[in-house]
Amino acid sequence: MHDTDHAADNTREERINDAFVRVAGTLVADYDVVDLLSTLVYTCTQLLDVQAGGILLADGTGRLELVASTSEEAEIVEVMIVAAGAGPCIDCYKTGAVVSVPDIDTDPRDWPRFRRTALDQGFRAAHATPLRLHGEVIGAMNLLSTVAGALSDRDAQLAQALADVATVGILHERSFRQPEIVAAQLHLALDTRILVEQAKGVLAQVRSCTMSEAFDALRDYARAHEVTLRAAAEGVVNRSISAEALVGQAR
Amino acid sequence: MTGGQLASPFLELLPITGAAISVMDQDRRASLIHATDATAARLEEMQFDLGEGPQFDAFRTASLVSVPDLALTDQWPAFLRSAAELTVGAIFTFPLMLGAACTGTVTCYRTSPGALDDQAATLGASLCRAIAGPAFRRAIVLAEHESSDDEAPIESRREIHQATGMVLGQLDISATDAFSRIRAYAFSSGYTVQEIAHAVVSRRLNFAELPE
Repeated sequence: MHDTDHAADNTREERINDAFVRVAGTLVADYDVVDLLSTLVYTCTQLLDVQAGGILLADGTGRLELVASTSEEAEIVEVMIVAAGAGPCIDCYKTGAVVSVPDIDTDPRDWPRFRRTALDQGFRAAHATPLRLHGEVIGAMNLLSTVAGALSDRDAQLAQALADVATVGILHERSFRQPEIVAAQLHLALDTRILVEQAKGVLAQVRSCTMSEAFDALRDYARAHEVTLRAAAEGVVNRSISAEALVGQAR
Repeated sequence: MTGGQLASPFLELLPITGAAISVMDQDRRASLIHATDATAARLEEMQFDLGEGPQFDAFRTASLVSVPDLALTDQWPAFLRSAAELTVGAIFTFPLMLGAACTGTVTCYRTSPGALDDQAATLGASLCRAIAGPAFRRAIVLAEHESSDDEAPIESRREIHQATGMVLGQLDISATDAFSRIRAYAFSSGYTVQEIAHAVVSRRLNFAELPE
């Protein structure tokens, strides 16, 4: 992860602004948390010059679930998920502190499965940032780079700012002081992810497409029809939206 | 998390006397995870023995079944005759949802009659979502002969949800039934639920091509 040339980098500033504006928009409009987080983590990889990223939230029993990632490909998803089992993500979540892994290959920490899976997919460095709310950690954002090296201080700060923005996007500012509403929104986000996976399965079966194509079709449909990703997934699973029509319009 | 920890928010936050959490196995038999008192446990048992009651309706319709006054309903006659021996005025049965698949129910009862307002109904549904993870793990464990470690590796969970969607598409059935079919096949074949799900997702197993 190398430091990019910031001096003349207007587009970077614009993109950062854009990410904040997008999240601000979700606070007033009907929005979908999985869709928002997918966009946000993608923005993050663009801004920080990393190649993959994921956002993980803790369920009621303290396990991390992958809610959004830059790719729906099984291999990338697996790296994220393994990192949540025994790897930087779970350590970040448990300690509430950034976990930087500048060189996955030589890192002394005891993560054999994460090391193997990440290296197999060509990743050399990882950077996990906590999602924090009032001192409580609700999840982690994981970024992966194909180049060894730590994030610059400036980039690490930006990663934390974007993770904070993600937290706002998940929870809505107005509900922060009501713990039961915070919990309800977290659980709704996790359940939305389950529904999206079920809908991907339906589409993959009916249209013989990959899971990744199924996700894109679902997201395109939601945007084209101005419905939430959750509503689109619900429609596919209960068959009120025909899988044929949905994938057809995405092509 | 113990069963008591799973159930206590329902008692604390909803205007009810007791609650019972059950997960349905692959043959739609209820497996009780926890009951906060003997009456709640007895209500579950009666419904299961008789094969009727709000629990089955909540599971089948995947929505809240409210009986604000047991004396004023004419549904489930056999169940109501049995329940008359208990001090139960009202029953509210919430489905435990996993996306679109129903995995079980939370049966709440109250000694006196009275409806559940919208806010309480919404809160109850939200409390159910909070225990979806443990209920899901229990549902998987019930379908497996050995593993039973209650710790299904996290990466396979996605495939189970994806496989549920694929089997739904293969057989044109509900998500609830698709999830049951996957578990039933795991149970009868001796494979784990994750192995079956993986075979479905990698298109090595199609439920539409299985012999009856």
